Amino acid sequence: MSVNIIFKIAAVGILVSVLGQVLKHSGREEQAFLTSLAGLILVLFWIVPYIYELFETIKELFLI
Amino acid sequence: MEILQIAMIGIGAMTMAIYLKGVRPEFSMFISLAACTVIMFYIVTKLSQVFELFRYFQSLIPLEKDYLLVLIKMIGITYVTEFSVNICKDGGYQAIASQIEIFGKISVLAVSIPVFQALLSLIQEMFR
Repeated sequence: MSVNIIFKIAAVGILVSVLGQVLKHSGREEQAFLTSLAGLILVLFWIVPYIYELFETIKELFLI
Repeated sequence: MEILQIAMIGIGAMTMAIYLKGVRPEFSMFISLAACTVIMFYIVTKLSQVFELFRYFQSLIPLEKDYLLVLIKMIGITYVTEFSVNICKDGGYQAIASQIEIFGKISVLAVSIPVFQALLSLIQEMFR
């Protein structure tokens, strides 16, 4: 529950966009799309447990 | 003070999200989602202290236990609804946001049914 997940996501975002540009200019269009997809899924794997943990604490706090 | 941390988190995430909106729109949504989650965690921990105060009040006044639970549940439902509605609106999907909002309102109404029943039965007894 710390703040560095935001910076990790930003880093992955910038990395994916740079990689995509490089791959796009070197003619490999599909690889660019695949790297952006991979970045997306990676960030999804990071963020879903965060949200799950948040909703767990909410559930036990608000007795929902 | 903690509010300074929260403000820094928000502004930092906002600047990164703005940059990424031009380059990679989906990551800007992820960043706002992560920032909302982190800030919500701080809010939930702060709110649990407030609920300790509620429990202390309840031990003083001989109030029905489940009325307080209904109140807490309502706060929780509206809070989660607000959280998800704003995120959907940020992403630009008003339709999903309005659906969640409608569901939140109806579930709050559903939670508060016992309170209405108790009130109505009380009124009936008065007029008998």
